[in-house]
Amino acid sequence: MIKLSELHLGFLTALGGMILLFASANFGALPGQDYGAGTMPRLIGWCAILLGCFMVATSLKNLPEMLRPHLADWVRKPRLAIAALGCIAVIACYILFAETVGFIPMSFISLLALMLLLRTSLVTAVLASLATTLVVYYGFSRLLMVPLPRTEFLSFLG
Amino acid sequence: MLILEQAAALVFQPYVLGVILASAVFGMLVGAIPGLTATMATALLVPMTFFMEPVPAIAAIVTATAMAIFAGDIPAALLRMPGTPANAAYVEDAYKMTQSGRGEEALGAALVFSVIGGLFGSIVLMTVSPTLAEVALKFSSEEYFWLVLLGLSCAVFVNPGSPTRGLISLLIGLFVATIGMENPSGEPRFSFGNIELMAGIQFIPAMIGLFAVSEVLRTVTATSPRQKIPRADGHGVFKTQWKNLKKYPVQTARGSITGTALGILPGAGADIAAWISYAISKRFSKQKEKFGTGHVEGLVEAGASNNSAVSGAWIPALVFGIPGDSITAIVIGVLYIKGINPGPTIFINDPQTVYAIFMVFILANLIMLPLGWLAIRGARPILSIPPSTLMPMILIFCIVGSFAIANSTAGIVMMMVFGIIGFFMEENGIPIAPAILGMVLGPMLEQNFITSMIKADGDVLRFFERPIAAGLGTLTILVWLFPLVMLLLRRHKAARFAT
Repeated sequence: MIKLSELHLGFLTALGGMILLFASANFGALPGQDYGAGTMPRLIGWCAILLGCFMVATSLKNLPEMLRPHLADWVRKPRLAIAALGCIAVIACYILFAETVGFIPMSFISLLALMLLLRTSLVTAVLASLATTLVVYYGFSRLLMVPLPRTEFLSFLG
Repeated sequence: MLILEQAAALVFQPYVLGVILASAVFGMLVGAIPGLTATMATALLVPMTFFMEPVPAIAAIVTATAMAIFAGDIPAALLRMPGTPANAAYVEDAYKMTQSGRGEEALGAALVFSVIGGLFGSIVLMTVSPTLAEVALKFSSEEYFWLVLLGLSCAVFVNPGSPTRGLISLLIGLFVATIGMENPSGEPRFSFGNIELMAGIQFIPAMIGLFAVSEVLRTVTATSPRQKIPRADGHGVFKTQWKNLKKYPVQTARGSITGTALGILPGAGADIAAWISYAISKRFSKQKEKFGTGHVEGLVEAGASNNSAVSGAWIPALVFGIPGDSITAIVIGVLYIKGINPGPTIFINDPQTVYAIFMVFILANLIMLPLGWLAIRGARPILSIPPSTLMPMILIFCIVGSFAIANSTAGIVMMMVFGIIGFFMEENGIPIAPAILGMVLGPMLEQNFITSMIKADGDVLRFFERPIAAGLGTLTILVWLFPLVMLLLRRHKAARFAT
């Protein structure tokens, strides 16, 4: 990931402000008043534009330095970048498949995959994944009555 | 008297006491693990509190927070890795004491003086809050508008770090707060026809994402290797603390007072309190040269300060409904979910709950002594858990916690989105706390601003007509000018140095 300089952040902030102004242009006011749903987003938008312009203006002094891309340390190490993507992939897979697969298998597979990706030994990963899955399942599903996605063939677990 | 009895009945139940004990252990575990903050402990605890009555829910958060902040001293002393940002100020001294075979003395000092600071802050909370609440009852929309703006301004301008990045964070938080239909005209904003978004951003999944998921991502991408844990030195945790208390009474009192005062200031918190107290301790010490070399004096003052700030931060949260730090910002969200509206009327409508919260503060601080001692003795196994095993566990807990709030995967989606945003923000030096304050205070700011503008018929000067509003408004403007004054002072100093 590129670490953004004051110049980049300023530009993005001002751009965000402009988008916000555009997106809130059609919000109506309270009946008989000048203020309403659009007042606050427009104020935030103007603040963002002013802040962005200020950041860009103050960073122009060191323009060459500000334009040089700075990469985060972990980007240069593929293993760490994959670990970060793995965490996001685990959440995305849970969102997509938990309802179909059920909580217990999904949680176990997610934990195991992520632990192995982060280089936990196989035995520790299997035991820790199983224990965590069961503790979370019983804690939330049985004690707190949260309807976690169920798996038919594992229904004997409760 | 009847109210006190009712409050005691709410607190002294086996269930509530069990919750306090369990959250103390939980706070201790989270705080002792480097990188996991007290705010993260609160964020992870919130899904559990969702299923509790208000008093045990608040008790769980208060206890876990106090315990996590103390427990953060354990990796600070043993590994030179502060468990929470509030422990970072005196990490050098604590670690050097461990290296010279005085690790347990360092941790003992952190524990005892945290308890003293915490108890002091709790007493101030109990005595000041009801009086302030009476004043706050006379507040109108103008006073609340300035008070909210003051809190947001302090979060941006008083904290260390770049004010421009703090402002970006605040604007992100304020924008997130505008999403949905909760606005003066009830018109859907930025929801793109999505029913989940029409109800607004779910605060708890967003907060779990910003604090916990982003921290998991940061830990798995960390490049620095883990350190070895030194063996126990057998000096005893409490042995030298009475001597320290007799030697440093001024430092203890000063740390407790500074911490409470900074805690009360909306937007500041335990982190900044510890740094300022450490600096004050060094400034007025007779042994300035010993600071940073394994000297206990700064640890005594900053240790008392960071825990007293935790209690102090609850004063604006309870009295005005304005959080003193990111933890109380989460607490305010929890209180609203529980149907308790923080603000001066809570002292009239729900006094027994308020007094029960006060009692919980005292209990949480007292329980720290025995549990803290146990944690110091048993910290080594906790610190030995490798992040490669721990982080996936935390991630699954975050997923289930976000799902549990509304029993919907929309919560998990929000958690993931905010986790990525939080990671991006921290990677670019944008603090998360102002965004959280913006999310919590955004609706209050908007409502009071619109009401005041309608009342004033668009005349901004009328925001200064009432005396308290004028005072708060002036103070807010002074906070805005603070960075400018600091810049001019630095330039003046540099010019003098050059000549």
